[in-house]
Amino acid sequence: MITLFRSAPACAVATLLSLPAAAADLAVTVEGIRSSEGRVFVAVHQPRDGVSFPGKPGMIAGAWTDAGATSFRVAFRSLSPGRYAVSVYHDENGNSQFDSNILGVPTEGYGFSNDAAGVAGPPEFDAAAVEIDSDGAAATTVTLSY
Amino acid sequence: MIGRRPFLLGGLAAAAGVALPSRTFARPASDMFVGWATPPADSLAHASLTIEGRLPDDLVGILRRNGPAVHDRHGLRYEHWFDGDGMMQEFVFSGASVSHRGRVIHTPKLQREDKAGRRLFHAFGTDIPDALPARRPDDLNVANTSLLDHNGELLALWEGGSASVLDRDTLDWTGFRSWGPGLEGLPFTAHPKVEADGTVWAFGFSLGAKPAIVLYHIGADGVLVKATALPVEPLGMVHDFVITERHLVIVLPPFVHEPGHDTFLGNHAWRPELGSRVLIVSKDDFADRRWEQLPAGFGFHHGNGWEDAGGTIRFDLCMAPDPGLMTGPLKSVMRSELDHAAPATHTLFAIHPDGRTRIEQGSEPAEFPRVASGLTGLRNRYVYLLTGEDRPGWPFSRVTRRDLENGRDRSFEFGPDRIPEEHVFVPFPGSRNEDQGWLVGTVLDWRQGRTGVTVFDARHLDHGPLATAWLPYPLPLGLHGQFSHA
Repeated sequence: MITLFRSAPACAVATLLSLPAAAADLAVTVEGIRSSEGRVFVAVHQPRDGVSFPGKPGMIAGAWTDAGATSFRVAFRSLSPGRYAVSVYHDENGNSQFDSNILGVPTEGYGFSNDAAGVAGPPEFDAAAVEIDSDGAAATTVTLSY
Repeated sequence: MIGRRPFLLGGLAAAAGVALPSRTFARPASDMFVGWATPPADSLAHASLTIEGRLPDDLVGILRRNGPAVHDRHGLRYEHWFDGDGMMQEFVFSGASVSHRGRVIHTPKLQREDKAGRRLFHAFGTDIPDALPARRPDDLNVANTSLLDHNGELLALWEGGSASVLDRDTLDWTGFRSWGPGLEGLPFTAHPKVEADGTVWAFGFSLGAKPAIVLYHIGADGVLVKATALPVEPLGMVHDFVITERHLVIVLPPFVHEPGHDTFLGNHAWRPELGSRVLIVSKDDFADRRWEQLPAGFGFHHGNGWEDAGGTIRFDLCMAPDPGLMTGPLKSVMRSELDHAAPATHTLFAIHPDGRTRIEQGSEPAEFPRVASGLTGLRNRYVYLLTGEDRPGWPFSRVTRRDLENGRDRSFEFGPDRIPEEHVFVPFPGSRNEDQGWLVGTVLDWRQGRTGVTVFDARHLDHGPLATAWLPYPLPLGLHGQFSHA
C-alpha cells in the first residue's frame, strides 16, 4: 500500500502532462508567509474514496518553493476538468514535515484553497474545492495561518 | 440596555488619552459595576499614587496583576467577565512611593481583531456573529488570567493555550512560550506551582479532538525537564491544581466538554453524577498515577497542598456545589445586574492512601486563597483569602488570614463601597515565617471610582491597612497577581 501511495502523485503528474488540449491550468496564490525561513509546499488534491482530505493518498501534484516574499503564485498546468482542492504548508524549519504538537495541533503555517478553514481540524474537501471546466483556467488564493 | 454606565465612563476618560489626571473623571460617575468597565486607553500610567497611612520603607518591588480588561471593543460588549482581553497592571513600590502602569496585552487575537475592526472569534462566554473558526487554541488566546515572573521571563497566563511572553520594559506581547519541540501551542494553566528552589510544575487541559491533560515539569532555569499528555475523557474546564512533596494532584470537577455550541462555556455541561475525579501523578514519573473520587462540586482555586509521612494528601479548595457562579453572576455583572449563585466556601480535603476521604466544608463565601510562596507543596498553617457574606453579585468584602490549626480568622472588612481583590503574601526581608510579612493587593472603591493598593501586616489584618496607595482612576477588576522583588 505504501508503495502505491508514493507512486500515485508521480503517475498523476506524468499523466497530466500528456493530457489533451481540453485540460486547464490552476493558478494558486499563496499569501501571508510570515518569514523567509524554509520552504512552502503547495499540493493539489482530488477527492478519493476512503481518503479524508487532505490525506496524502488524495494528493496528485505538489510543488516546493523557497520561502522568500510574503506571497507568491504557482500554476499547476494541464489539469483535466474536475474538482480539486489545494493544501499549503510552510515548512519553516526545513525538516520536510508538516509539524504538529503532541496533541496533533499544527505548529507550522498552513492553509487551504478558498481560504477554507475547519473547526479544530482541516476543512471538508467541498469547502476547499475549486471547479475546473474544460474551457478555462481557474484560480484560488490560500492565506497561511500560523 | 447593555452596561450603560461603564460605557459612559470609558467614553469620558477616552478623551483624556493615556495620562489620566483625576479631574478628567466626572464624579460621582461611578457605580458598583465600574469594575467591569473597559479602561479608557490601552495604556495607563500614574507616577505617584496618593498614600493614606504609612508605606513600609522596606517594601520594595512590583505587584503585577492580570485580568480581563477589554470588555468593549469595535462596538461590541462581551457578555462574560472572563472574555475580555488581558491587561497587565504594575504597581511599583519604591519604599517611599508607588507608581502604576497598565498595558492591554496585544495578543495575536487582539491584533487580528483590531486590524479587522471587529471581533473575529467566539469568546469564553460570548457568541460572536460571523465568527472565524479557531484553527488553534491560541487563535482565541486573550492572556487575561494570571502571570508568572520566573527566571527573568515575564509570562502572561491564560489556560486554554500557550503562556505569552511579555517584554519586561514595554509589556509588549512578544510571542507564545514554547517549552520544546512538539509542545508548541499546548494549553498551560494560569496556576503553575513554583517550589522554593524555582522548580515549576504545571498542567493544561486540552478539549480538542483528543481530550487530554498535559503535565509539565520545568527547571528553575526555565528549561523543560519533562512533559506528557494523558488522554482523559470526559474532560472539561480545570482551573487549578496542587502539588505535594511527591505528587501533582488535579481535581476534575464534573463540568465536562460537550461540543455543539459556540462558546467555550456553552460547550460545557454539569454532570454531577460523575462526581469529582482526582488525578494523582508522581512528580518523579508521570506514568505513575492513580485516580481517586470526591463528591461533585466546582472550585476554581486551591490555596495549597501537602502530604504527610503516611501518604495522606491534604489540600484546600474554594468549592461551590455547582458552577452557577460562572454561568450566572459573572455574566449578569456585564449587564450591570446582580445575580445570585451558591458561593464557594473554603473546604479542606484529605485523601488517604487507601482512597478514604475526609472533607470539612466551610460555611461562608471564600475565594482567591494564597499562602506564603515558599511553602507551595509543603504544610502551611495560614491561608490568606477573601471572605464575605452570601449575597447576589460580588460576595467578598473582607481579607482574612485563616489559621488552619485552630480555625481562627483575623479579618479586615472593607465595607459596602469597596471590593477587595486577591491579596498576596510578601515576606519581610530575610524572613521565612509564613506570617512574617505583608499582605498586598488591590481594592476597588467603586463609589469614588478609584482603585487602590492596600498593604497589611499579615499578622494583624484586623488592625486595617498599614497603607493604601490610591490611583485617581478605577481599574477593571482583575484576577491574579504576583509580587516580585526586582
